[in-house]
Amino acid sequence: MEFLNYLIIGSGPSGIAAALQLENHGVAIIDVGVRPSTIFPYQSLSEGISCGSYPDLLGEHWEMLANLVYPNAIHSKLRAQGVNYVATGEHFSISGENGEILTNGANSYAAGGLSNAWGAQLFRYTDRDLASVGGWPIDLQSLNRHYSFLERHIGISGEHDELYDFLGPISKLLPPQPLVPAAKFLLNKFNSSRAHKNLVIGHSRIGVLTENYGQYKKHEFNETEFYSTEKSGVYTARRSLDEIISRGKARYFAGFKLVGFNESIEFVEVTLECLKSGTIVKKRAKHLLLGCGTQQTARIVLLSKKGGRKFLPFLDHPPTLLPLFIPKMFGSKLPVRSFPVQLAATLSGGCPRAMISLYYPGGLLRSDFLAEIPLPMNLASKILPGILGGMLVAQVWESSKLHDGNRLYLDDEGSIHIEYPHRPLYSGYSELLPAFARLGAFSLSSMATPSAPGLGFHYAGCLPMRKNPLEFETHTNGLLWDSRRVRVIDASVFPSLPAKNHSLTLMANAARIAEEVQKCGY
Amino acid sequence: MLLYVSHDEITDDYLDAPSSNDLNLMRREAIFFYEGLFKRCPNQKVVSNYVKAHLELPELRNLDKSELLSVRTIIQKQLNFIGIEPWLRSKNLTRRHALTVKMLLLMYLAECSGDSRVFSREPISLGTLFHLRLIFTGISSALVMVHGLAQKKIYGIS
Repeated sequence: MEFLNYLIIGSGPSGIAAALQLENHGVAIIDVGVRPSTIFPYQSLSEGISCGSYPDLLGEHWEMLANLVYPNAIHSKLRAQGVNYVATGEHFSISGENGEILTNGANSYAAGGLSNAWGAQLFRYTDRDLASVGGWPIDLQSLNRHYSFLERHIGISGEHDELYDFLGPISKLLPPQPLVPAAKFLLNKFNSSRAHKNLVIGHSRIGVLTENYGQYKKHEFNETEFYSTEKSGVYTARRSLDEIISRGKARYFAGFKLVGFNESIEFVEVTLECLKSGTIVKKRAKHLLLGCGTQQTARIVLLSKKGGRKFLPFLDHPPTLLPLFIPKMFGSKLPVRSFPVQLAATLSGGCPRAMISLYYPGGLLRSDFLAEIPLPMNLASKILPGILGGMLVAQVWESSKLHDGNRLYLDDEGSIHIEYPHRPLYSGYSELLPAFARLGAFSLSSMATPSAPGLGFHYAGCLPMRKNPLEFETHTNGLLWDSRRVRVIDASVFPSLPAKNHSLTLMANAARIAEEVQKCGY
Repeated sequence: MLLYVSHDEITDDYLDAPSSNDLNLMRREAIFFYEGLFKRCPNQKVVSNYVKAHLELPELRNLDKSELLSVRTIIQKQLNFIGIEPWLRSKNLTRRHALTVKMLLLMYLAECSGDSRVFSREPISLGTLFHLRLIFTGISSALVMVHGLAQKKIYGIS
């Protein structure tokens, strides 16, 4: 039987970050590796709209109408044929306080994982972030070198502006993305205002190339994010995976699903199912690194460790969505090119802080909005272009800590269920709304929509890292509590989620753990 | 005084598996709604895809029957569906009313048909005239919705 040094399961952000660290050292990556079977055939959304093809714009099977009858059936970014392949992994359901089902979803079997559909915001955690949530047994110093490597590897655009302290240091920044008129107005107003700076606004940092970067071409900002994951210039883990494969310094086996693992003194043996043939294959490695995504990794560990109906803690970051209207910008010329994430913000002073991502919804169909506007549809459709010129959507992310009631378990068939009774609602409107109003952006707390748990996609916490881990927890070097050879490298090891996007940190932490494996000496 | 419509003329066939009569009814429905929304006749592509979506999407085949009766009443009585529909929405609803669904479907079809001026993505600055249009739209909306609310109550639309 083939014997490998390092075996990584999963090609999402954490698996890839670990693989980049372990290239040249006998590493293999195994994943299901689903890739898109449909490509959006237009250079931009505008071009697609003008061509008027229903199968291309609404889907061969009306995929873009998935939320027509049930408005929350699926996240709007996961509807299209060219994107929905991202979420065809293990199914899960999330229930609320009274046992009612809040969310039905699926994890990712895609090559590159959920990063194929992410918003590409990439920030470091700071000491203040970790202090605000507590429970982290590692020092950020141990991540700095990995942050720097990944930032240079990915190519991140942004600006060294007033948000720098909040977003954390960065080794290299590409020029910031072009802003839509509403975002430009808001940022200019903020920069020129000298009073009441409790709201700090700046450019977000996104893994989007604003200039050519090595072999990679810059992004065209063609508003196809809701239709396609094949966006040149937008970083996803699949870009690194394809790089690794082409370099030939790591082995890659696609089409296999991890069924379980078994550890002995000398090696770890994994049982894999070949999805094409259904056959079972076994492989052995000195070290196993699990990067399947929080829920799928937790599931595998529960099954392999005979966890039965054990409950594991579960974290998510469901954001609150708040439309912001800038009347001075109503009627302004809409850009034909844009990227969803425009700006980022935070309320300074006091604790806890929230992170606010400011989005421009240019990549959505106009009809997606019509049932949300409290006007007759025909009139709403006429004024919508003018409104969009002065509209941004704030996604408010708060910190998330482990709570006894929010937990993951497997049923008798091994399917994932999550109980999520503890759902604190965002309560900072009395500070947030006046702060935006001073900059000319208005909203009402009644317009806010809290997302259902599961729709934050920042799953974490099932196997939290501790200095002295108990059962179903992990050491700071990623090892399972009772293991010498099995490590967890995805966000399931995160003990809490600060109010900040966690993508870059989960990659840096995976690289850190991979480095620990290299140094372990066996 | 409330007037209640007799539903005798509404056949059960329309509400269950579609026959050719039902398909014709769907086409008439598409034309009625489209003409009301856009003040012009829909092209054949929009109408045929409206019917196609109803046949192919399970959710559209399983709309609430009492709501479909309301839709039928609106069409038969030529009511102000544009003004009625907003009153059938609810912020916390997990499922949209059948009338909202059908109108929204036509909006999607119009937007993606390639020839809708309303949904054009040509970058045009609307300038300060837009604020006047906004005020005019607000007033029009209020009048349309008041009329719609009155008809909703008179004809028992729910």
